[in-house]
Amino acid sequence: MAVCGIVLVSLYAGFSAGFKITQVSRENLRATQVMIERLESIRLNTFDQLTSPGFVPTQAINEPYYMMGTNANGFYYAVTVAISNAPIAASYSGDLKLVNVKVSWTSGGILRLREMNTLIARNGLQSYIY
Amino acid sequence: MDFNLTSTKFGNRRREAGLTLMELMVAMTVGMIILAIIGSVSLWSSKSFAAMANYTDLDNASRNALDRLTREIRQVRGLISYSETGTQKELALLDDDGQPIYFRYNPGSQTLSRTKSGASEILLRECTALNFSLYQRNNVSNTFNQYSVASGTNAALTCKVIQVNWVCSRRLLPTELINSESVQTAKIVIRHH
Repeated sequence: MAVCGIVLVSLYAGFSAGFKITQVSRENLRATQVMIERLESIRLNTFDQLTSPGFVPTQAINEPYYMMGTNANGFYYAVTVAISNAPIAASYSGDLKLVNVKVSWTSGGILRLREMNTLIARNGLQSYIY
Repeated sequence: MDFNLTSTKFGNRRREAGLTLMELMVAMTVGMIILAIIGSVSLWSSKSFAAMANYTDLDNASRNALDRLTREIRQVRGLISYSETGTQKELALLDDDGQPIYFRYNPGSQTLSRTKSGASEILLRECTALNFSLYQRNNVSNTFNQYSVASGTNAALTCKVIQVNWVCSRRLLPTELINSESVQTAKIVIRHH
């Protein structure tokens, strides 16, 4: 009887851990997509738009876990974008900006946070976009 | 003379005695309960295992398709056309080598296919819903959205961003509700000037 109990509990624990890992992996994938989507949008801005206050929103914006249909079984990611000076001391540092995208969400009672950074150059953007 | 071939001790007689009806019924009930528990646990564990395998398999397939789609769209010269015939959707793009490339979603077969130079291949299966959205290059101020492309022929000229999102679903058993699904979304910027 004790052996059966141990087997059952282990089986249940194994599956629930497996489901949790799979779920976190899916959430991470969606979080990565949200961050990439933000960076793709930012790449469409000119350098002047990027440095113009208020053009790129810096407040947290919620993005649903489920993009299609309802988000009834899903949750929202809080996404923030911060644009700052490039952390380099070179003479051309004024032509660079550091963009940081942060995504946070709560899953399984744990606050999860992911972020991506990229440098954007004044001339690189102009010739790329127009 | 007295010849005894078998022992007739009381203890031995008791050991040889059969089960009473009550004992038999209790044993059968306990046995059936144990069998039912084992059966339901094995059914539950197989279903859980299959569901987990489905999730990872669908995610894997979606990720591969998205990587492929992203790479292809990024390098095209631009949009040729976008059409919706009934529930079918077709995205025609001009590839970097000057050849048209088509991405078609067929809800009947639940597939997303890629066709170029007469050669067709399926990028995604079990795709229950798929949407393409087209946007221009200009960002809307104070948002991360772009203006939608104008309809008609202007779409081809103004399209710079293609958003795609889809849902892939799989059933464990034909009679069951959908219990494994993978949702993907991406906003892809055409890199060509």
